[in-house]
Amino acid sequence: MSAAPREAVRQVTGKPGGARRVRDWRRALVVSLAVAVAAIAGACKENLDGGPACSAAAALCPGQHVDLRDTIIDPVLAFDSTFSGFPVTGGEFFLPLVNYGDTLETVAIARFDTLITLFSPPGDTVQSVAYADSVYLRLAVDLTHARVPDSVRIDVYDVGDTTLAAGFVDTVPAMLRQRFTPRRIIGGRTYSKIELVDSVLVPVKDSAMLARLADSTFGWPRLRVGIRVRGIGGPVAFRIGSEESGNPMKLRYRPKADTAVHQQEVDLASGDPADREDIRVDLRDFTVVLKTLLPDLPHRITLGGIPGHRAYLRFDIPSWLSDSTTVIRATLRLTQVPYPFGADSDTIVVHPHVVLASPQITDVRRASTFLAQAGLVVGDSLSVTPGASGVREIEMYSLVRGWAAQAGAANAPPRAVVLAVGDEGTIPRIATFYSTTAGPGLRPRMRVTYIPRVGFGTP
Amino acid sequence: MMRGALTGLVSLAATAALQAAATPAGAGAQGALSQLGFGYPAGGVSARSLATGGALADADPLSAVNPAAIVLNARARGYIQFEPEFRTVQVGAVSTPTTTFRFPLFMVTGQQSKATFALSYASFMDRTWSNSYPDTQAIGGERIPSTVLTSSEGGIADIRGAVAWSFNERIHVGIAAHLFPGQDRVVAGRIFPDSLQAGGFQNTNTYTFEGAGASLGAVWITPSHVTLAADLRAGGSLSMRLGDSVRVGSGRVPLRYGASVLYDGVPGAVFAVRYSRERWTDLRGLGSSSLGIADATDFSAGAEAAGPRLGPSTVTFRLGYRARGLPFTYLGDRVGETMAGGGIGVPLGGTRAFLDLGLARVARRAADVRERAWIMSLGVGIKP
Repeated sequence: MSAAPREAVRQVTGKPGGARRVRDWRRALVVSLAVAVAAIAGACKENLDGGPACSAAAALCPGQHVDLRDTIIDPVLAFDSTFSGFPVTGGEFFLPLVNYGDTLETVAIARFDTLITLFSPPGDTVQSVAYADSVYLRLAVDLTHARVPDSVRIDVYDVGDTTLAAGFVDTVPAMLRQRFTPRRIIGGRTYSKIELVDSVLVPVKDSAMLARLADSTFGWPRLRVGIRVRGIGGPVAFRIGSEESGNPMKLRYRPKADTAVHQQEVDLASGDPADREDIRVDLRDFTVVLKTLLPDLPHRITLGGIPGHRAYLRFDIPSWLSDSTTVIRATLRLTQVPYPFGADSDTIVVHPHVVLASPQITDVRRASTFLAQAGLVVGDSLSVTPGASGVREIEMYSLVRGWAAQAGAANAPPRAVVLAVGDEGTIPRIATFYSTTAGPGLRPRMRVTYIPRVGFGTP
Repeated sequence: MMRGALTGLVSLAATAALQAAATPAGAGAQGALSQLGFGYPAGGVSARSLATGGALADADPLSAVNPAAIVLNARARGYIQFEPEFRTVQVGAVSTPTTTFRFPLFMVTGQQSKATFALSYASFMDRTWSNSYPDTQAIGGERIPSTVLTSSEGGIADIRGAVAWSFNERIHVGIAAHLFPGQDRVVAGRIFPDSLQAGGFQNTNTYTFEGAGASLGAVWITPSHVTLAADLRAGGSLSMRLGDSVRVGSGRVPLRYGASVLYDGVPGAVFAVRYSRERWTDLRGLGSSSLGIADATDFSAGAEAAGPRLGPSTVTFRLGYRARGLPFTYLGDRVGETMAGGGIGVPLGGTRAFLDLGLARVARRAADVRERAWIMSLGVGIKP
């Protein structure tokens, strides 16, 4: 059988050529192959992005718009609880000094439980303090969010217990209130508005200081003072530095008339309670609300104020949303209710904090103290004024995504957020919102934009 | 001996499959007429056939088209093909260049007496592209600027097992079974510059395909320098699933028939024309109902001529022209593709190996979109 028919189709046959022609063609072949290799090398630099064509003609890129869906979760909260008393007594970063007349008054308490009783004059031996003059209390003033009238009176009260009265606790407002009487004033001064900057020295009576230095009722001389302010010509509110801020109150006095003797400076210290050093540290300085007539509104989420309020929000996100979708946007919608206290210029910044407490912590108030930093996971915040009303929105898709990722995990934190204001407990401004117990159009709800995890990419 | 040939064939097939898996798949872009729908139909033609515009395809043993044509192959051969495409899409004043790499064809053949066997892997539909472009997205009642990031990687393959029988040196018939497996990994995502408001996302869906078909063909080498080659592929069902479970569509493998006529009456040359018709509308139901599909005709003409001898073999030169329709419409318009090109075939190492190189200038057009491309095809065959 001849192989010719197959060969004709398989590969055509050329005529034999001379050796020179073969060399020429080989050369051409080498050139051709070189071009081919160069082209292939060029092809290795891929350019994948056909996007501009899609922008120019959307029909060229069909099916690239994924199906985004919207839903409103209403109610979105399983429950909410508002707690007051934040920060805890003694944990204030700043100490608010507020006097709004009959509405609100706060005082700052400072404990100097280790007064210096010995001093060393230059070139002399150690001596006991039996003299005091130029006694001052140094306050570091912070005017953030302050309201200061033309003049401010700052009074210093001796709130220490000199009689070891049974049951007296100087952290209890009702008991302390009795100590803020005129006969207990041991110092003070009126300051003009322009004087009230940076730091001020409030004079204290030398005799009061000497009396305390000589008093050994508690085994060691001590002085506990209360700072009270009064605006002349209007309400007053400003803050002073605390031990936590690193700029606390200082007590200064001269132990000898001789100006060559160095001035003594006494730091804050607390001797009570003897068995709890952690609390002693906190109670070196703290805030006490002497008077408040600000109403606690029922069925409201209340934030801010003095003492500070914060709200614990436990979310109830449907499992179908967290398990089988990708959340693109999740907007918590709160309806603000006007609060009958505060000016239009009073701004309150509300921060959502992610609750980090494990499910084992069932005390919700306690759980509302285990929080992530503001801005972590939820970067959004609210800026409102107390008297405003309407719907306020907080974007929190990343948190909802995080909850979805934790679904089924052991000891996953509860799906909860705490709303707290910036400078909590130090600014007398309150914002209120409708709580879960309000009606459908008012209670907290969440608008969620999501993508079902199926249903795209089909030609 | 039969057993030995089959073992070799399986071994070559495994090697080819491994190479396919290890090689990065092509990547181009939707946003091109050729990438609409389920992607670009490479057609299973070899570099040699491509250089002749596809005119030789029905009589080409290295094209996975006509199962009878495999008898024209060497006794045992392995073949691999690389095919980059350099494409520019023109929409108005916007010109978008993209590049696609393809490995569209692997084939191994073996011969035993009057029977020839072939196993091939060909790209049936290549749906590999990626896009990124600015866009706005309505979220929660607001339009938010964003950047779209989408991509598709994969496609549908045509795995063919063919057997051909030679009644004599002039009459050959063949039959083949086809499997159409496939996978398409689609990523859809967006990035929002304002990440406080909305979160970017990147979702992935992986679709799988499964289908089957059968083809038969014949080659008749007439005594009068004319060779007739014809084939028919009948489709079975073709389904698409999301992952391994949810069936999202089903259609049929398109019916295809075609014929090539070759004339070798001029010494050292072969002239060929080919006509083929593919009923792409059989795919209806596989994708969404809005996907425009049109049946298409493929016509080509080309020639192959012998050049100088290189050792015991000859260098060949090829030239061809092709006009065909693509399966997926653009805004209701059929997408036409024309191709003009040429190439050379170079023997390597005597008769033990060869290199086929094809280069084609391609133009596609529909509505106001023009697409031009260079397709380079590089095929290497080895005779063990």
